[in-house]
Amino acid sequence: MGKLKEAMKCATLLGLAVTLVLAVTPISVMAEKPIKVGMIDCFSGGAAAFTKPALAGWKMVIDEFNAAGGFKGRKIEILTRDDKFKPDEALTHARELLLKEDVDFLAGTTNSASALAVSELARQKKKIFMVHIARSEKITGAKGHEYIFRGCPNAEIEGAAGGAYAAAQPYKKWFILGEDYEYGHSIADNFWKGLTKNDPTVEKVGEAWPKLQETDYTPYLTALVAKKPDAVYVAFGASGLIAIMKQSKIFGLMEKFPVFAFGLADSVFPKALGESMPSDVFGGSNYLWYFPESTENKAFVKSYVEFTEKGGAKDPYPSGIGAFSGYCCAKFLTEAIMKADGVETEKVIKALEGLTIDSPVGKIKMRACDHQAETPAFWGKILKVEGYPFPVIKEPIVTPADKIMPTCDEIMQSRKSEK
Amino acid sequence: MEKTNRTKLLIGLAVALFSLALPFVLEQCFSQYYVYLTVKIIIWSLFAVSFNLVLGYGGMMSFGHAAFYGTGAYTCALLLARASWPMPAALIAAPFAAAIVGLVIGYFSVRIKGIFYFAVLTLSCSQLVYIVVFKWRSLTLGDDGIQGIPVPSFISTLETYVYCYFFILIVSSLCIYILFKIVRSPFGLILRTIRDNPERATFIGVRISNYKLIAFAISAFFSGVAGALFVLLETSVSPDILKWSVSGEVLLMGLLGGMHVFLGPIIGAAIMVLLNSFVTSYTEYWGLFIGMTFVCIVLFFPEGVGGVVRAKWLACNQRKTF
Amino acid sequence: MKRRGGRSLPRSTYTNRLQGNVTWAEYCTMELDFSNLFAQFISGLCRAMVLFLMASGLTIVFGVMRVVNFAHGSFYMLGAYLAYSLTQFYASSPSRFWVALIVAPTLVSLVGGLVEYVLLRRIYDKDHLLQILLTYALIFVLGDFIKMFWGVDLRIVSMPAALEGFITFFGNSFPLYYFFIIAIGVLVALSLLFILKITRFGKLMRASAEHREMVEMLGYNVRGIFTVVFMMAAWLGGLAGVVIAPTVRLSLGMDMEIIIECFLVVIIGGLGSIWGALLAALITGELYAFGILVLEKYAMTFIYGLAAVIIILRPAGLLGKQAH
Repeated sequence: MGKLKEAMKCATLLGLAVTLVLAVTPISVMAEKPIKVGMIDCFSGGAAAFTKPALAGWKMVIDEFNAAGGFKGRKIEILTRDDKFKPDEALTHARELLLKEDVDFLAGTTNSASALAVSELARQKKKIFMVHIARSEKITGAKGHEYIFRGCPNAEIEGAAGGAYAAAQPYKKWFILGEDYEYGHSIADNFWKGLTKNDPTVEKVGEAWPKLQETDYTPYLTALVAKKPDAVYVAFGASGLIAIMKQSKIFGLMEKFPVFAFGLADSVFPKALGESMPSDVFGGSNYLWYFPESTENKAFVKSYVEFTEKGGAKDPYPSGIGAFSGYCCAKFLTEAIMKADGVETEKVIKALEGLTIDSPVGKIKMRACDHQAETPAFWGKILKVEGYPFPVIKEPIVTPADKIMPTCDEIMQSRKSEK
Repeated sequence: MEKTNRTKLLIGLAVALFSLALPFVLEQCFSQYYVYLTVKIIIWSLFAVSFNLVLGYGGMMSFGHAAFYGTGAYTCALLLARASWPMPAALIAAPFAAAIVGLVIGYFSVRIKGIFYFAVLTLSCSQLVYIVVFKWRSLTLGDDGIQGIPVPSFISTLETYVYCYFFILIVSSLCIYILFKIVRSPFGLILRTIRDNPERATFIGVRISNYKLIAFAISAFFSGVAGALFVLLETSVSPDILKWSVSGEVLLMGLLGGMHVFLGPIIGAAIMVLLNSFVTSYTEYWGLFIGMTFVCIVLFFPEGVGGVVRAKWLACNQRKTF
Repeated sequence: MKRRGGRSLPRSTYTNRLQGNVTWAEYCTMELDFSNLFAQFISGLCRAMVLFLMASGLTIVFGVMRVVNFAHGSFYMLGAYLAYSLTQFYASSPSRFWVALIVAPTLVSLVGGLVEYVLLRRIYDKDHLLQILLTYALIFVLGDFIKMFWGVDLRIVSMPAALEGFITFFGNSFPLYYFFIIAIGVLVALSLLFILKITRFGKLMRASAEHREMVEMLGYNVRGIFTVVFMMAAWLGGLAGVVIAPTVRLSLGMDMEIIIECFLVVIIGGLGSIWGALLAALITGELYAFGILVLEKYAMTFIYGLAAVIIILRPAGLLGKQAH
């Protein structure tokens, strides 16, 4: 026993020493000079359900770009770093990517606080940061600057689109059930703003804000029922949405009230929820793999499925939050590099501003004043439809972004008051 | 006796020269990133050493020190970003804020008998601070955090981390030196007596809870300094800094480095920061690695790396005198 | 009015009324009537039962072995993930959930036994501090093992078909599953009390808790008793995981999410007391359920507050024994 203990002691010390030495030795990259994109995101937790497809979306475009010769022979390489959904980890990785790996572009994150922190660093180091999932409107709004770009929607657009859709519905008394953090409040606020703008007669009869990562929503659901609303709006982040939808289905919420669940139409949710996916509920998304039934959309879905199959993790239904956004961001970046005929930050910024890409759902423009992509939103009633593997929106309604985005003046005003 | 004094002086000089030359060497030979990592290590070292005043010297296992670290950080951040205070003023105000929180939490905690109760009470208090900061969105901007905190240009990290390194090194060294003096003072001696034998301490007329409370407040004070320095380095902060996982991390640093050796937590901090930055890029299973390491530490090296080093050092010295 | 991270929406009149001082009379005559209060009560009871399952495991381990198992949440998570795998494996069988209900906790208890035998045994005579640190480190180890086997994707366990219906009580319909959870909780509580009070093993457990050396001298294998007790606790944690699985999404953070609330419940009830765990779980569950009606943003703080008060004023908990 004494010898074993001694051996274990030696092994532990040796292991620690070796790892320490390795930790301090930088690893040199032996390759011809590729264009490096440093992607920081949470690949290891629940967010991986979005970040991994997003990365696949990026890689699809990048592989095609590289195969076509890259940029004057230079290929694009994506370096990924896991921030574990923590802003200070994201910052550390951003510094590592910028200082040690000397990346040309930064991309990421899902966590809005991480995005804001990395955005600030990108501004200081004068490198482009392309946001592909994070939703806080502050990123391109009040805290925006010339080096930040977002190729995905933001909470303001998404909330407002939901509000516009809800205004067309006959419900007057609303209950808002939201997850108690910035994003939840943001999409609820913007929803309410959009709804009251289009229909000032609506009334909010109650709201409930369960904390993040709540396991048991039943007390909130029973409190909701007591309020007797006409309709319920659910403002949850992606991971919480899965939980609340599951419990709502068990609770029978959909049978009691019409439920408007933000983001639910994204394919990632029926995949995650499986049998627990509710139907007869209103949902929205920034991308639907089945609508529009255009050749571009069908081609995108086909190539995406093939791509992920080759990668070993077949993803049959590209999600809006993940795959589509990653695809769009990569397209923005690669087309901007080609248009700018260079990788220098200033040139690419100029190329990106006002750039319009061909996406599977039509043309999407990167608005020049705030660097926010004008992404459309799709809303409708999710039902069990013949021929589809899970409940989908039967008749989607599209809300183009430019109708609901704040004006450039409003954005500039908010940035000024931020300073 | 004289020989050991001389060796200590030589070691001290070597360390001083090393820390003076280090940032330049790192920057030239490797990259700025390693200077950044070094500053991170220094900040965590200060946090870990101040934490250890309570753990190793006070014998209290606080699971809520993130509250003080985070309070220091947020106070500094808010004063700099939203109240436009000058940096020295913010840097001084932050630890006092943390110390006040320490006094409040400590007042209720130090009387608690039972290590688990103490841990859970401090944990609950720190969670309450987290909830307040998270929810008070009009003040703290909630979970979006605060970015772009203005720091004076002499420590700005826009161009290089070297100046920031020296500033933080000086402040941290000063604080650690003060803590060292406290630990070696009569106060520190009584604290250790309380830790080792509370009954005897009461017999000699020591009011245990007062001493423990003061230790707690001092520990909170310097943890607050570390938090403020963190803000100066990163220029951004988010409520994640108040999560109980941060308390757990500093606890593990204390254990790894050796809680009964004054400089132990510094070793622990250095190892944890380096491992974190290295291992996570190589494996998804950082938790497994760190968990197994600590299981081994608890079972085979409960005195930590510092404890092992000190044992060897003492053994060497003993042999010399013979 | 430009929002800078804070909400500036007009709040509903209902919540406005609750911001100020509400007298009890006003509260009673509000929109809430008996049926709604009963609904809150049931949902609180449901939450309480799951908390009880977890807390009882923690408390018997402390009561008998004087060890606090920080990694108790990992058993909960493991139980839930095993339930997932078992229901997936037997996807075609209608009784797959019941198979999981029986098999998963058993597997978890085996893991618990292994953990106790290999690791915990070595620290019984060590400093409490090191014991806590070991079990804290264990959270990371077990968590990553689960990550290794199941990956990082969120998982869903479907509701057993037999329990999908609703029951209507006082004008409100409740999912049948809620009552299943409550029933399981009550069943486990009764079984535990039976084991502890009536069976020989229970007597040995209580005796080892009071006087370990005496029991050893009487010739009993106390080490074995400890292992079995730990396995029981793991079984309870795993059961809680299986029971809650159909109502939540499974994610790798489940262990951390639940462990703090468990500690609070165990402390409020009194370390070592099963009745205490039950009482505290009920209080916590109902406090949360009704707390969100009164001051919905801060419901959790009530529980922290209560635990803090108990620790300060009566550390032994509501039903625990006084200082040891």
